[in-house]
Amino acid sequence: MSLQVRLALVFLFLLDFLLGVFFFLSRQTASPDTLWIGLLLSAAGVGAAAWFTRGLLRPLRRLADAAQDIAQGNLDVRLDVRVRDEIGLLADAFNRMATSLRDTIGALNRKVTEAQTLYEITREINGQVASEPILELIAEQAQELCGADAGLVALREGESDMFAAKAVSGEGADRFAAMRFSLRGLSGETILSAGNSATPPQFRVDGGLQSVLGAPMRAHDRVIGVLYAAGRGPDAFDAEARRLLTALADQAATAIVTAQLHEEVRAYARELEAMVTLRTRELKELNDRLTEASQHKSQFLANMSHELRTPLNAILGYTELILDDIYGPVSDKIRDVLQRMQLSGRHLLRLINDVLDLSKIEAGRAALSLSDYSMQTVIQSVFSGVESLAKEKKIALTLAVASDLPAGRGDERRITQVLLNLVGNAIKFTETGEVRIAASATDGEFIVTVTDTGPGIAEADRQRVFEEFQQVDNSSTRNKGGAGLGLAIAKRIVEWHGGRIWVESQVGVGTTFGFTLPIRTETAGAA
Amino acid sequence: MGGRVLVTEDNEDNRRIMHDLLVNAGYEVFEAVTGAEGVSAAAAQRPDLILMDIQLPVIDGYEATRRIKADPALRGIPIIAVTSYALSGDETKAREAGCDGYVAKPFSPRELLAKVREFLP
Repeated sequence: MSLQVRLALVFLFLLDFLLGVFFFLSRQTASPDTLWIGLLLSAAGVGAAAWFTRGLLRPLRRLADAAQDIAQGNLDVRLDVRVRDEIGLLADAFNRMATSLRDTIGALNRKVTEAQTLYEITREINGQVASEPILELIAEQAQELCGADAGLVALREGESDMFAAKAVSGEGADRFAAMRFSLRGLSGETILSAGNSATPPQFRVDGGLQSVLGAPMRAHDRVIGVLYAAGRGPDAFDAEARRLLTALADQAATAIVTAQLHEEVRAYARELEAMVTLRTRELKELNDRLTEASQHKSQFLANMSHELRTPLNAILGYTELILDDIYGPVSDKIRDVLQRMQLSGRHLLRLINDVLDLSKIEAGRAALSLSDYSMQTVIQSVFSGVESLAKEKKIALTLAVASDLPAGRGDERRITQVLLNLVGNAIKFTETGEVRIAASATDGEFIVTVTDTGPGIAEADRQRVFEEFQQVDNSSTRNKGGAGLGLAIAKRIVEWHGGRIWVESQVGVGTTFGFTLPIRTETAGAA
Repeated sequence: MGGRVLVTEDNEDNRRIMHDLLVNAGYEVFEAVTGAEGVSAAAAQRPDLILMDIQLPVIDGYEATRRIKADPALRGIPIIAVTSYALSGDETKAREAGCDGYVAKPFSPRELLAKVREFLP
């Protein structure tokens, strides 16, 4: 019944009511029957009008109630209006609007959920350093997001077509955990669904799960794996589920690649660490062997020096006895030769002693014997020791020692050895002029220099004078004797004390050797 | 001048050098090769001075010195230790063992003679 008909009927009933009233008012002029008829007509008219009006208003009220419900968030409310009139049409329109609203809000909610899920995954990735928990999380999220009964992450094995399950959630977790399957020509372009060749056979065989949805996980244009959601019933997934799974798969791919990179870095770090440990152990072993070898060498040199010196001692002893005429008078000619033998013998003895000394220092077997000493005394004793030699060569030997040198601490014998070597060399190589010893103290250091007016040392040679057996090699110096070990030993002794040694020279003018020593050496530095 | 000197030294050349040097200087010289021989020669000869090489086989110079110094009859005989320059601390050890003097090897005969003359002028 259309609205127009309803309104027409209401109008008719109202007309009927008026007619009834008319009959009732005209009762004096009419029979009592007409009075009752009029009354009846009026009552029927009012009743029918009221009934029809109620039928007209009721759907409108329900419409208002439903609108109120929707406003309060109940999107499932629908109007059951069977009338085919305008109100029926209005109700239909209302129902369609409610459905559309529900769908839109539902889609919006899913989008929010999706965004939240993806955000959570990303956050989890940042929190996770191992890829295994990330894979578990992705499987769970795939299941949850698609409203599925199971979620599964399968990763490609290397560059092959083989894929292996890495994480399973929900139903069949036990059955699918060890699943491996081949997917050929997986382009990653399409969403996979049940029956598709890209569906793992186990899913199909296993009757429990009839719907399978798969989305390839792509990273750098390469399918690294497939994300699956599986449901029990047929056609368990709609387009929305497919869309969500695709979005999740994209995020998951990034997450997995990132995690794998992290793991690679960690594996590399572990590898490096293991390598370092191994190398350290190898180096330690090598070092132990070298230390042992060095000790053997040192012991060998000590023994050899002793064995060399014993016969040399005999040679020098007999030579001296002959020169002292103990075995009878000696001719001048033989005496001259014997004296040369004696010089060579003593030179050889010095060499042997130097080699022994150096080897002991190198092997770290010699220790600094630290005691308090006076630098003035050291210089004075060196001065006394070489004074006659300087006088013999008619070289002036001068001292410039500060009067207020503090008391020193170090190995007095070794320091004396260093200075004696420098002064001895200076006198040896100087033919005319002077050798000057200067000493002062500043900033916690002694500074001692030995300056001569000898031939000087060419720049190229200056670099090498402190190396073993690197005496400047020319005929004039060769005649002076000396092994070229003295400066090497001096350098070690000075550095051992924590000082340094240097040389300055100008060819034709002279040479200055200098060294510093901490005034108080309490522990030996590197030898 | 003069006196009786016991030379305890395992090296034949060194023994001969000391012998020739000291005989030439007017001393009477006895020789021993090992530490044990040195101890028994000291008891047998009662020398005025002993030159004791330290690096002797079996019984070294320190031990021989200790044994001689432990004998009240021999305690008064001065002992000069003759030892290798290479081994630092030898002088202290020699003094601790009871040696009265110390000469480092390689020695010059003149130095050795000077040292002997400190005890036997």
